[in-house]
Amino acid sequence: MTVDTATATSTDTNTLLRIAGLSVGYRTGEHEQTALDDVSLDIARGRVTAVIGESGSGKSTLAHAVVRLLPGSGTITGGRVLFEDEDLLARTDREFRPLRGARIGFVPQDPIASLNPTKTISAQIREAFSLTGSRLGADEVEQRIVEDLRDLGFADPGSLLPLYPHELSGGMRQRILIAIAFSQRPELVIADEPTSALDVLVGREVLRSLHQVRSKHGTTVVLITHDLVLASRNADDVVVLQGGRVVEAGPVAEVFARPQHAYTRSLLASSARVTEGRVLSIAEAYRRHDRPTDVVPRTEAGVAIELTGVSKAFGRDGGHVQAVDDVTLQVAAGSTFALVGESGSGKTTTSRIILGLERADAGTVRVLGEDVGSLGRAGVRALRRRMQVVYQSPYESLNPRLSLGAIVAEPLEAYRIGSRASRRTRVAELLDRVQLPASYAGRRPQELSGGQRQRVAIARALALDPELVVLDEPVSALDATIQAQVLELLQDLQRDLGLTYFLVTHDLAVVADVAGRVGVMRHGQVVELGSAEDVVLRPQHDYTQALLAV
Amino acid sequence: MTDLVHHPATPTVTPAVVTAPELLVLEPSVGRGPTRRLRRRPRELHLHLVLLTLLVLVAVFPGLAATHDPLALDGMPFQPPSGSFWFGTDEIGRDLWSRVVHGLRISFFSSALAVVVALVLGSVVGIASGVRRGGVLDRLLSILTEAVMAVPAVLLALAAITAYGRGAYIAAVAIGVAEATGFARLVRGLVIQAQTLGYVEAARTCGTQPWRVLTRHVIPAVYPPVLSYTAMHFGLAMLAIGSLSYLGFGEAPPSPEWGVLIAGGQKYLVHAWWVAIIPGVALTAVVVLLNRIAFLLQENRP
Repeated sequence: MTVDTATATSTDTNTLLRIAGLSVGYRTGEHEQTALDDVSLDIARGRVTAVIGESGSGKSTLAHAVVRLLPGSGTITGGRVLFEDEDLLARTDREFRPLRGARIGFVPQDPIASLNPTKTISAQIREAFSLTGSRLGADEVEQRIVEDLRDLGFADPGSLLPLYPHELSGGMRQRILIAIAFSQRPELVIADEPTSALDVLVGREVLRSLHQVRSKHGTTVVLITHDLVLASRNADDVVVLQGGRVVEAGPVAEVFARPQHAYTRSLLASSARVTEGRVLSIAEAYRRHDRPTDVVPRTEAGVAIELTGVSKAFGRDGGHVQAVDDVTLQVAAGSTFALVGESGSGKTTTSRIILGLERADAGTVRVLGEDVGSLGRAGVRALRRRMQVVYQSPYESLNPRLSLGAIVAEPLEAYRIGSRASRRTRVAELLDRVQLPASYAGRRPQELSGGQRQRVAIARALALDPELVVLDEPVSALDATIQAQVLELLQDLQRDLGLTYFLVTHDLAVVADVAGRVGVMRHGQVVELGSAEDVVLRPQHDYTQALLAV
Repeated sequence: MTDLVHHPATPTVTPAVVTAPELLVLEPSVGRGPTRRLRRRPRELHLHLVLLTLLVLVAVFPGLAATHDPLALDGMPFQPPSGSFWFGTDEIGRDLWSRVVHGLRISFFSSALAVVVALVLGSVVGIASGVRRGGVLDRLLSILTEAVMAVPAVLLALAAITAYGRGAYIAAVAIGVAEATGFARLVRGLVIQAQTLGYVEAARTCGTQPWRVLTRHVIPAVYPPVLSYTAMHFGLAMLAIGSLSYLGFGEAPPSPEWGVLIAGGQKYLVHAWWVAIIPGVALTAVVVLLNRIAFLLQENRP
């Protein structure tokens, strides 16, 4: 590294951004936590560089440190950031400001939170011109905005400009943010997880338009992502971060085909779809995978869930939304059924109807032999003892004020099962089931990683020894390497305990891993229903085919 | 990396009608050099809490701090602050320091009573209406809250005094009832918000009874912002009770209540400034301390 820093000033002309020995720390209370530790890397001019890593690897911190948007508790503790041979860290905040936006663009992660809801799209793009002191006249600005939006795939930019952000979809908003980042023709654009908040199909469109404007203006792009498929499809170079350090860097084709570092290899191994430097289609990955088998169910009844013509609408006369529209499906006891769809497809509402959290407007809902629609409060409560849920985000589903022991014991207390001592034994047993040490009972959720937290949530769901478990996007909040472990745990538990799983997910790759039967939902309707093999290898509906082509 | 700045439980709430909006916004610190400031805050809070504890001690045992009898004519009138009369003497020769110390007791306990009334009443109403939003109970309580809100706190206190007689404690109960509306609004909003938390729904779906969900998950999540709001209203109640006494509706002379002291002393402001200014400064200092504690409690929310 010392050699690097010494020669840093004589950057060859091909390097636009050179980061040398950069260290960043966060301070929480009395603790100083290192987020980036002596990071050095070169970003080549005119290329797309993907910075990949799991949560906590420091990839977003890296992006924010370069554009000086670190949160208040973050400080740069050392190193240099050389942009066109000039050390940016030597500039004061006031001196830095003219660079941001004008020469370095930034595309933030969350398109919902990043646009001002009280200003029109036109005003927000214009703001990028006025704040950077652009010398263009009003007509030229107007012209450029319209041209940029057209490049980004908006057919009629004029009609878009007077709208407010809430009138646009997530994908459109993200493209507006891209338009803002590119509006001043910066040399460098840093995009921080630009598609992770979007549905897969939409995300693909957004990346396509990003590429279009990028190649038109020859902009250098740094793409921060956790998605290996996305990185290998969109980037020329890749930098792998782990625990705040660069473990490997080089051209994507080379790094993904011949990873040198053990961490890169494990990262690649966790993704079933990137093998030998090539991206497999979901179907190809599915063929290579072992098929999940149904287990011996604990219920006597052959059918765990039976939905017949179930419909549910939200909103009154004005904003009527048909969330679930005439859904009919069956889930055999001891099997895993996956309901796949994008956001707003009605999959979550369907699962809430099964759980008795929402009432269907029409149709019959039979769960574990009971007609959920006709059950009273006591009946639903009795049924909940036999069906439990694992929620999407283990960061939200566990009360941060309670110990893990109290969290896992909560269902037992709710149904007054056992004495205090016997509950403690049961908690230890459950933690052991999900492969956590029994000593964790005294800890609090904040002390655990995302994967460990999700294991706790699973332990809580198993506390009552249920027959049916509804898994609501159980791994989508987790890193890829952790996802595989949690899915494997879920499969082991299913085999050992004879569970029936109702899995709700947007990710067909997860489905291919665990499900026996699959339903694909769109706009409240089930458009395709069949065995996982049929749906993945021989999709009938256009929509399923589009999802599989991602 | 979002999880580095993750606030897993703290609900950020903006109720429809906000009584004290600045209390409710979880604001990330912006600008340079906030690191040192953030680290200093807990220590500053501890220091302020120690000061508050001292004040409470003095309020409970005024005899420990007072040097004279607050009602006895121990000196000559209008003696300036000195070694034997730390804050000087008033128009008839009573020791002002001892009067301020004994007055703290009245101010402190009457405002504490007001705040307790406001907190308990407001929490009960807020929780009851927030639990089932838009239900019959919610609508009824909202109408009631708005009706009370329409009447100024001081006016309500005056009405109570007219009906039940003078005194800081009667005024305190009336002020507490009026202030309870703000607490009710705040708590209602927080409870509605807390019920959408992931772990609250998780508790419900795993079979926990509604009452237990409330006491175990919802109330603890709601409590931190309410605590900070309480500290702020403590100061406000103190001011309100002081004002009433100053106007002659609360305590009456010879009581050493601070509003009474200020009112009694202002006539002599030109040649004996200390008689009115010192109790005024004391009142301001205590209110500022309480507001600062409210602010720090809010800043240090986990």
